[in-house]
Amino acid sequence: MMGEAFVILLVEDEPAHAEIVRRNFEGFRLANRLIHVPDGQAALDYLYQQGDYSDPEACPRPGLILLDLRLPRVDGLEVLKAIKQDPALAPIPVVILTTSAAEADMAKAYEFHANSYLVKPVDFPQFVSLMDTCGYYWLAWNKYPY
Amino acid sequence: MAEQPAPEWRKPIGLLVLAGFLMLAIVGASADYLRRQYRDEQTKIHAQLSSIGELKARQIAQWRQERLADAWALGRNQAFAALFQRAQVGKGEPEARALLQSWLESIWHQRVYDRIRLLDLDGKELLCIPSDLPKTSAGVLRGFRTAIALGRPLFQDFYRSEEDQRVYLSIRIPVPDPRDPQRMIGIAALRIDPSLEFYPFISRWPTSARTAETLLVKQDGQEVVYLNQLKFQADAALSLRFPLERKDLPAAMAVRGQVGVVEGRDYRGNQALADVRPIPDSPWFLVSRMDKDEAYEPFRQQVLHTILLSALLMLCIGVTIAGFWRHQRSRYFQARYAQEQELAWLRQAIARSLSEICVFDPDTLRILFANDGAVRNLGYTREELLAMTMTDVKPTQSPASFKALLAPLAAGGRETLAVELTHRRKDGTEYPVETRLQLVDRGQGLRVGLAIINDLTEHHKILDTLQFSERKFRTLFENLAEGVALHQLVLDEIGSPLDYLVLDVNPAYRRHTGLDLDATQNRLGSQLYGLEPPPYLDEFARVAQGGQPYAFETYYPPLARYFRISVISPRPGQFATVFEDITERKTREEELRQKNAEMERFTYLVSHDLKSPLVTVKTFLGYLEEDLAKQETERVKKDLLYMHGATEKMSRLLGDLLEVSRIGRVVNPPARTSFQALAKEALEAVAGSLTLRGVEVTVDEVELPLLGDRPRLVEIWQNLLENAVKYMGDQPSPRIHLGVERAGEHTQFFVRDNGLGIDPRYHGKVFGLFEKLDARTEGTGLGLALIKRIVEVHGGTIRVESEGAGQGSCFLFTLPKAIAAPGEAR
Repeated sequence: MMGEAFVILLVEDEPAHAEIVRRNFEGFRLANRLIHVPDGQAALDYLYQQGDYSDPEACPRPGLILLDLRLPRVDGLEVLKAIKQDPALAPIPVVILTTSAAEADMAKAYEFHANSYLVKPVDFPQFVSLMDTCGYYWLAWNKYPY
Repeated sequence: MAEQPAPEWRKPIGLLVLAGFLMLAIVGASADYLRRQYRDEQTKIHAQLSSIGELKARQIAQWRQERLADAWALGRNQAFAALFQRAQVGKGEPEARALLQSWLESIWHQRVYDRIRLLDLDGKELLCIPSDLPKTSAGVLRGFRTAIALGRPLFQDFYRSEEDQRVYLSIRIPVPDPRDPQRMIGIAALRIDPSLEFYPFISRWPTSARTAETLLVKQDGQEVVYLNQLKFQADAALSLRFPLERKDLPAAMAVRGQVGVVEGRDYRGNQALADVRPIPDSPWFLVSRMDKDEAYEPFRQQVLHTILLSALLMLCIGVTIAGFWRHQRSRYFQARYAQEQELAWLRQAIARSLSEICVFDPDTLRILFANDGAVRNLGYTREELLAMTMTDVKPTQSPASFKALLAPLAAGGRETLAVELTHRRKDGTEYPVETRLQLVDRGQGLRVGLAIINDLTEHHKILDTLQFSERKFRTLFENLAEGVALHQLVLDEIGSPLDYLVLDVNPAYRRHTGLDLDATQNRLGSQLYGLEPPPYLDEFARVAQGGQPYAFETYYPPLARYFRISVISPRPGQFATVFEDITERKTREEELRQKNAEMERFTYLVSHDLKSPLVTVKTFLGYLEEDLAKQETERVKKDLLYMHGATEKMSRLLGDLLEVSRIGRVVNPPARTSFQALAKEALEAVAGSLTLRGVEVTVDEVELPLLGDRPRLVEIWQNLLENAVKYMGDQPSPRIHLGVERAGEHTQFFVRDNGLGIDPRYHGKVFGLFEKLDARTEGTGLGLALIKRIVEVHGGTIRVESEGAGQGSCFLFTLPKAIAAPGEAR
């Protein structure tokens, strides 16, 4: 269905968590690529193809963004706000994936037009199940205009 | 007491004058009317009398003429004379006698004459009619001779007959000889009985008058004699006589020759009006008289009527005036009554007034009046009081001193006088009074003293209470920690608040505001605070005008203090402000708020940052199980590595958390130290990593004594050195400098490196809890937060300066509490 790979941008400061996400998405045989950036500033650099990510070839536009909230340098919510305020980036679905179940965070995320808010479960099977469901939903079921 | 003018009792003088005038007019008019009436009446009566008199006189004269004419007719008659002679000759011719008889009978039958006699010269009776007459009297015979001698008829006036004593008249007619007229042969005597015809004729009055009559009189010597029968006196003819001298007797006047209407007294002595005149050719006089009473009877009636009418009129006027008078009097008395009622009420009010009210003689000071209040308060009876003087109940006053008190009143300098005096009751107890004195005119130049006295006992109690209260509140006011100020709102022309006037402030107010206490009195808020409009005018005005108390907290920039201002309005237009300096509380609150926020964030971050490795561990445990089952050794190693890293991270995190929580909570006793000592200790602590990285460290050689929590102070430098080393990057010649400098009032410490530096965008973030700028570096993100806490505990601030990435960074901080009082132990 897609000529080129469906790129998923994972913004996650915790390498272990990035690894978990990567492992889960490995299971999907869809032609997709998971690109991991460690903080908010890196995410913005990637999206705007600047700084360390100034090579357009290496930095394709993502079809889905998985965004942690607690990030060094630029906070996840600020990244979300920047994405959704930019008409060019706003259509990209942003799924918040965080350990924070704080209501204030959720409220802020939806205020900034997050497309989904997922809390990382402490339980392994649940985490795997969540990742599966999330992968199926966003990668298989969800339809994109591009 | 309101002066109520007494209704004036005006005698209706005007009315009386009017009435008198009216009555006079009526009387005058009546009198005039009557006078004219009287004149008319008099004229009428006179005319009537004179006309009657004239008529009567003429008639009587005529009657006399007739009689004389009769006589002449008989005496000159030849036939009669011849018959007389023939009857006389010899024995007389019977024929002649019969002829004479019938002739004379025809005369007799005229009823004028009652007797007719024919006599010869010898007095021998020839003939008589009526025939049975008595013999001729000698007196008659004498008269015959006179008549014969005269040779003509003789009218014999009234005379009294000797025979029957009645009054008669008679005519003697000599009869001449037919052949010789000079020789008389006989006489014919004709007697007239006046009562038969003449008297009724005289008495006849043409009008119906009761007292009117006609009198025939004549002079007889010096007397006047009445000749006819009178209405009011029997047998008056020839017997009633009055002397001629009686001037007022109309008859006498007539005889004396008066003619016309006269007034006088008649024979009865009554007032009479009379017309007097002589009868022509006779010795008679006619008096036509009537009683004046009767003559004026109609007039009297008229007078009576007029008087009655006038009286009636006057009565009417009198009644009207009397009615009006009565009405006025009744009105006057009603007004008097109403005033009396009013006065009675006032008297009651005065008598029952709770105040003592006394009226006294200002000279003797004797009490002239004392009301119920005085009686009740003083305990004397009214009778006792009235026998006393004013000073008898005033133990502090002598008569002389009391009079001296009254002097300004007596001199007219003052209207009233109020003095506080003491009164003594009958039982000897005393009480304070306020006495209001006044001298009141009671008319006729007399003055009485009026004293209105109020018992001040209660008043004094209240005053004491008030003074106590006043003192209490004044003390409170003076010593209150809160600044209190009383203001008066100043409005512009349209009533909008413009400013306020400071009326009173307490010392605390001055302390709080730093304003001079004396300078604040009666100053405008705008002047005092140098602000236009003055501070909080709107809030103050709302309270001063609305009355609703209001309190607010505010930061007052000119003093850099926080105040809680309570505003109340003691009366409209005024407001009192209570200033409470809440700067300290506010600061604490702010600190608390910050701490709370920090704590909240701390909790949040802790939960997040602790949860994060937990998620890692649990998830990789799951993978580990799978990988073990699949015998994938490589992945197992990897799984274990992630789990190891996560637990390491948790361990560090918990350690740092403990550290952070201890700062400010666990305080080491303050110890004397110095900048050099602290720097040295910190350098020693990080010597390993410094050497490893080959960092060149320099320290300002400044000896600065410090006092504080030494281990914590060391941590500042230690952590900053560690950070500097950690973020040194690939700097070929890393350098770190520890310095001290003056920055304004503060002493500022700094740690400068030439490492990676910090993007200015993140300068605010670096001191946050769990903030890391680089996800890959080790550490919990608590290091700088820790330093910041320590600096704050020592009253200082910390900030970072860095040109940007690769430019190195410099952390600058102050420690005022450690420097401020180096000589003191904290």
